[in-house]
Amino acid sequence: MSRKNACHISKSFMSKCSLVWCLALLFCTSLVWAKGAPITHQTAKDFKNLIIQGERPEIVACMAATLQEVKNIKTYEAFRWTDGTSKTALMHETEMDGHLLRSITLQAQAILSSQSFFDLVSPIQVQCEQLDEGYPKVRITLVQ
Amino acid sequence: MQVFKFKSWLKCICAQSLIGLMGALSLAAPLAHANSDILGAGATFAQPIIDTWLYAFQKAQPLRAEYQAVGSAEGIRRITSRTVDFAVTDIALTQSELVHDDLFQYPLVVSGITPVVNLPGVPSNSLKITPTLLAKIMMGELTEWDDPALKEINPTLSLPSMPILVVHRQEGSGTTFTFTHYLAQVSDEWDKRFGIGSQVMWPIGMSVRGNVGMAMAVKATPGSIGYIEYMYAKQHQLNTPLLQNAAQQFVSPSLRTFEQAARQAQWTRPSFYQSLTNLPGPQSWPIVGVSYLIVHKLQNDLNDARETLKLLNWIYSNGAALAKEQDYWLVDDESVLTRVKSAWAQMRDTKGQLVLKP
Repeated sequence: MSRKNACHISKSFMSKCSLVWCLALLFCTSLVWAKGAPITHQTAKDFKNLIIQGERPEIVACMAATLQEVKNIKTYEAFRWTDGTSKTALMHETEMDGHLLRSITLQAQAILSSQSFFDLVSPIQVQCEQLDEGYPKVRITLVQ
Repeated sequence: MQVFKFKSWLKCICAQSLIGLMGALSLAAPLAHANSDILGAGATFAQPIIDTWLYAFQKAQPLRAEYQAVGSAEGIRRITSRTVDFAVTDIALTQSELVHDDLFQYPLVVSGITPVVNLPGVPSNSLKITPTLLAKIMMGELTEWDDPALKEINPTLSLPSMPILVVHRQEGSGTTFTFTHYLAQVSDEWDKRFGIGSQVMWPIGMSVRGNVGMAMAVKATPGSIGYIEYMYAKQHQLNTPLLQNAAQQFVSPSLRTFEQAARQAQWTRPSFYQSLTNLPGPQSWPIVGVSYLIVHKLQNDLNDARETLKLLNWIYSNGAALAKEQDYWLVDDESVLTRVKSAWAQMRDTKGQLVLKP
């Protein structure tokens, strides 16, 4: 269902239906729109909760550090993991001269800050580098 | 690619309903200590030896202890949510992660992970596989058992003309973590495309749950290849190949070859994290996994904590011989023991009382 049609239908119903019916319609519409871009309903924001909700243990430190980093990025209104984030995470590990470097690449989505009625959802790539088991350094880039 | 969606507040009403429902469902979650004084959960890798230890411990002590082999990832989840007294994992947490949740981790046992095959007419410990060929099989680039590359290194074997079916683990698995760690070390292509993980995007194959599931699937499927903790391969009489190690020698899986690799461990990191894959040494088995034990430094219940430490201490005093009987190696290096016991001595309950009496 296109957005234009959805608005048209909801307008025609507004005069006749109750508020409950309108909310139900909006919910169904949002589900249809979300179909092409799966998002997660998981809302955990820290290490412990990410572990408890069942994310891959080896990537959770990176996820938790990313969520801290995102707080400082004003251009993002919201940030979220996709349902495939855990599955598609790519981890590498190298050891040189006694130093351990772990790097993790994650896929995510961000809602860019905007004044429009609609959210602008963009794919994001997160790269974490964890040297000698320290706190991960996070780099976030917008995927064009 | 950018996508337009309705503002998120419109979805909040529905999300809150879902959260309420999830909260209600979580009340049905199992509670710790439902049936046992000491409850552990985690890796299936170490389950055979942990079950043996618990059986012997309960014969010697008036305490009930239980270990739920639910996989490393689930074990970490349960210790984090404090529904178990200890967890065992083959996916070591790094120090940064341990600090996040006030956890203490140390290496418990070491054993080997071995490829297992079901090849009619090919006896166990006779098929030779190089690391490169193993990686190609796992990536789906080598698809027939009678491929010239396999025939070349196995000139005396009559390899069947049948497709290779890869079997891998479905759930978050420490065995998968160690196995993919090895593949990433020996194959740049594997490292680049799939990396290391308790779960990876396998390009081919069928997935099964647990080491037992792996053993049963490979046993039942001619032409299959999987990877499994060595004890399970032995128990299920699976065909294990000879694997070429970093010293270019073809070695068979055994406690002796596992020990050759394990004795090279330094255990110097704060988290004790140590990779034991593809290590040098002419007799080193190239895929050796470590099972780590995780406990909370700050304990909720003093008695529970004391009982748990009683078990863990009993393992150090009595567990090594039992481990060897099952092809596991208890990590009881003096340097490890000193650090572990020092950490136990600092464990406290929420009221600040030391768990171990000074």
